[in-house]
Amino acid sequence: MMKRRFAAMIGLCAVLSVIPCALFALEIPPLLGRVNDYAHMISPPVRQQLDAKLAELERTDSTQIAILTVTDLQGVTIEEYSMEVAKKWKIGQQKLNNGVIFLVAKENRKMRIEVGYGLEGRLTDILAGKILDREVRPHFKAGDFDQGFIQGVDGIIQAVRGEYRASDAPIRRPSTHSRTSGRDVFSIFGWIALIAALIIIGYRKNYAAIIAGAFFTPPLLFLSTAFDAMLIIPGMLLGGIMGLILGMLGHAFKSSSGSSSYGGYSDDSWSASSYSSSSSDSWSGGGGDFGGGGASSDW
Amino acid sequence: MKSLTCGFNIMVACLAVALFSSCGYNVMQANDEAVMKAWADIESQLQRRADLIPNLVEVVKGYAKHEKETLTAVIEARAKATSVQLRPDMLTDPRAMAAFSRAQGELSAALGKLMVIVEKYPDLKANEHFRGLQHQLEGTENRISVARQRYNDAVATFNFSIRKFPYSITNSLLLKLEKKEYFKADEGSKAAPKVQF
Repeated sequence: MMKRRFAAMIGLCAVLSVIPCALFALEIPPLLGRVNDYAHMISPPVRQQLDAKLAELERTDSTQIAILTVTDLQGVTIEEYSMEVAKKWKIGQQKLNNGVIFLVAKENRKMRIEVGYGLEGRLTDILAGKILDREVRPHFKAGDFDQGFIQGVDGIIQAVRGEYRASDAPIRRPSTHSRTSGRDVFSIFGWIALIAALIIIGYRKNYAAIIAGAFFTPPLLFLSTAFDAMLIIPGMLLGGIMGLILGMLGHAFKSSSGSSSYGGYSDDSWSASSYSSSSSDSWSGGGGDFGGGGASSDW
Repeated sequence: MKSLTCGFNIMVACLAVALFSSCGYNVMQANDEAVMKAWADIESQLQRRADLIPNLVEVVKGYAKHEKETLTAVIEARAKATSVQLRPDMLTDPRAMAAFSRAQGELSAALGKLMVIVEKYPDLKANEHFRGLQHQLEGTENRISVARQRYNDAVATFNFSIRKFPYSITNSLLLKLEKKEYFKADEGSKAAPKVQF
């Protein structure tokens, strides 16, 4: 009898502890890309058009805009919902906080433009409200969602343009390549030569690679950065460790006579190549923060 | 011999740094500062709201002449809310916080009432200037609630940090920081002006 009551208590506790989670856990859909059309309101060609426009804006101004459509708001106000989305997605660049979320809830017939801290001066509450009332609402009322999204996004882009130019905004991916000077090329070749040499030396004698690494790394460091006496000791340590690892690698070749794997080293050690192109498939927020600015409306 | 004492000194210094960083002195200071900052954010948003009200009242007056009572109530609540100030060093005082939050809550309630009355005047609702003010007011209310949430989070972090071991010892010996008050949503301010079209 006692045992049963105890079990019932435990069960009750378990149920009670789950209920609040179920009540407060708002399910925010994952960020798929710039246009997240969960309510199927936008036709595919328009979706692509919007995506292209927003990508262009991010390229020139670093401002990030995300569109989200949901079927319903799960019982919270649109302001609360969009704040949760903002917290989770972190649209906008980290320091600049220049993100905008355009949220539309289909069943509730509500919409909101949530504006990041950094854009509040440009895309003010009044302006956000005007965009919703003038550009979006008439089309949504008439059932023409595509046109509403196009005009709304155009309005937002026009509003945020000019606040953050590419020149003073640290964009995550530099759009223009910095020209590599002869010295850079020289030092890169130097590093490749050093790594190759260390592997080859390690192939023969492990400790010799450590010494060689410690000896040749500091001058190479000065070549690729600038002369700094402070760098000598750390450079030697680094070179020694490099020599140890590469020497062991070379030594491993000896025992297994494996094929070329050191080609892979030169790829990720110098990020010159990893900066060049990165497809926008895996688009994500840059860490922007929101303070509740923006405007809501309905249709 | 000299190098030995030098080494000893370095060890002592390292130990002191390690002790100092684990006792939470800096953590509590940082948390205290975070609460101050969050409070400043709330105040600036509340100020922004207070600044919007005269314009709003002016516009409404032009269209809704018969609503003098409600308008006066808003003006009075604003005057009262701006007169009750809360300096950051008073955040530990429950009574001061309660008075502050009551004054702000009353202002929210008066504004809410005004926004309901506005519904009766389609001309006013169509007024461009009024729509702008309405969007600004809504935005500010929303910012206030976000700032309030952040402030309360900061207070929770701070209050926990002065109570947890071993920070509590450091606090009782050195810092003597007091628990800070939460800024609770008043009943009145929960009915923030939600505008229906």
